[in-house]
Amino acid sequence: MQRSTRLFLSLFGCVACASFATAAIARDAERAAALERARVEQVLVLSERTARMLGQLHDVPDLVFVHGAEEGR
Amino acid sequence: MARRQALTPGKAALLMLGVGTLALMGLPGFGPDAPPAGALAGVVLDPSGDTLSGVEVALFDGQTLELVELAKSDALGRFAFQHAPWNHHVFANPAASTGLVPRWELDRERSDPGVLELGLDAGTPTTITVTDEAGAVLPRAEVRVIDGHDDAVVARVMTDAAGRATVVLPDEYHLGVLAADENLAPHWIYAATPSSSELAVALEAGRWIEGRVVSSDGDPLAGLVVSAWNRSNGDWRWLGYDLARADGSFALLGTGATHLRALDPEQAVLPGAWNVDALEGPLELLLDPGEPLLMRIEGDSPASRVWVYDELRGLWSWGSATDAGGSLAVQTAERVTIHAEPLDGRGAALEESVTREPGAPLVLGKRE
Repeated sequence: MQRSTRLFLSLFGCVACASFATAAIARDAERAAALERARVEQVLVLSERTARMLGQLHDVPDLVFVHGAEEGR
Repeated sequence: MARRQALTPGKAALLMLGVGTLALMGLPGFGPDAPPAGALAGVVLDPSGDTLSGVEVALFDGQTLELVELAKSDALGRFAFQHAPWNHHVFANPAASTGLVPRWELDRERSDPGVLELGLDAGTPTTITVTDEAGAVLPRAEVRVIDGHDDAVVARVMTDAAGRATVVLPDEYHLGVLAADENLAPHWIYAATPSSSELAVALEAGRWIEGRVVSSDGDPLAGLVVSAWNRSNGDWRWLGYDLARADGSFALLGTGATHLRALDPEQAVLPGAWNVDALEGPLELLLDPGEPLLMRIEGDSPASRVWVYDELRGLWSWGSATDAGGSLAVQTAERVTIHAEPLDGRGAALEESVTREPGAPLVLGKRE
């Protein structure tokens, strides 16, 4: 194999390797960001329990905040 | 046999002097500083640990979530409730003018020992002005504050005629603004820290998105959480959620490029996600049943909250709790990443990519 071919293959390998690593890092970052969103979503949904109790204390009508939900949820 | 001694006037005087001295020393139940009596007693403390008077304290039934009783802390910060349901929640609600953050004590039991101490932290008083997109002020909008430390709602306040509401923000908070006009989409700010004493929120007009969540057999999936996100400009902004009714139907508001997620808190079906703009006609969100996976977390703190990531769809599940021994049965896709965090907050989270194997329980966190 010629020296130029070996050099080309080495360079190509480096670029492919770097691209692969970059894509993997981006994938991991997106997965971590998606987990944070899932966590926040769950927190906000589960906070409804304390919201319902405070609604009695502050006399806030429940139907204001639960858009589209059936009464009494 | 011991002889009973007669009570002489001198002894009686000494006895009365002793009892009087004890009462003046503040023995519980005696004297001018006798604490309020009841089935459940506690004390409210300010950030420096001093007692705080005049704070409203509310007791809620742990099962029904109904308000059971209200009390107010006395001159020495003490309060008592006459009733104490076996499971209960207690909420200390200082006036906004104190600059203190209200506080919950959740999931208490009547048998919990000791006097309940409600230590309040200082917050940042903030006035929130709510308008629509055109800048018109919105009275009777709800401003809801969630304490980022325990994820409990600590304030629900309605805006006044000028569209303003003042709340005390904890040092980590989530905030929701929800209009009385049901065609205006809620606005949520999450994982924030206070940066100013004034905050302006403009609510966008939304469009109603209605549909059903169904299994692959066409059966309605009641109780699923259907959640809406706005994905405009590369950002993700949460718009709220609805719980699917018995017939699987849901309705919520979307704005911009709306993305729906359907999640099963029981993890009996796989999560799903849809770009609403790409759908036509009545929405029928079909959820894949997946296959069962039994997992067990090992280690010092096995009881964990577990999220499952579907590698093919790029979706995280609802976070479900294992049992005390760290076991959990869920439906999953074939190639998943498991993320588990100890429920007691001790120890590190673990994350592992696995390929589900039929019938084989998955053991995670096992020490080699």
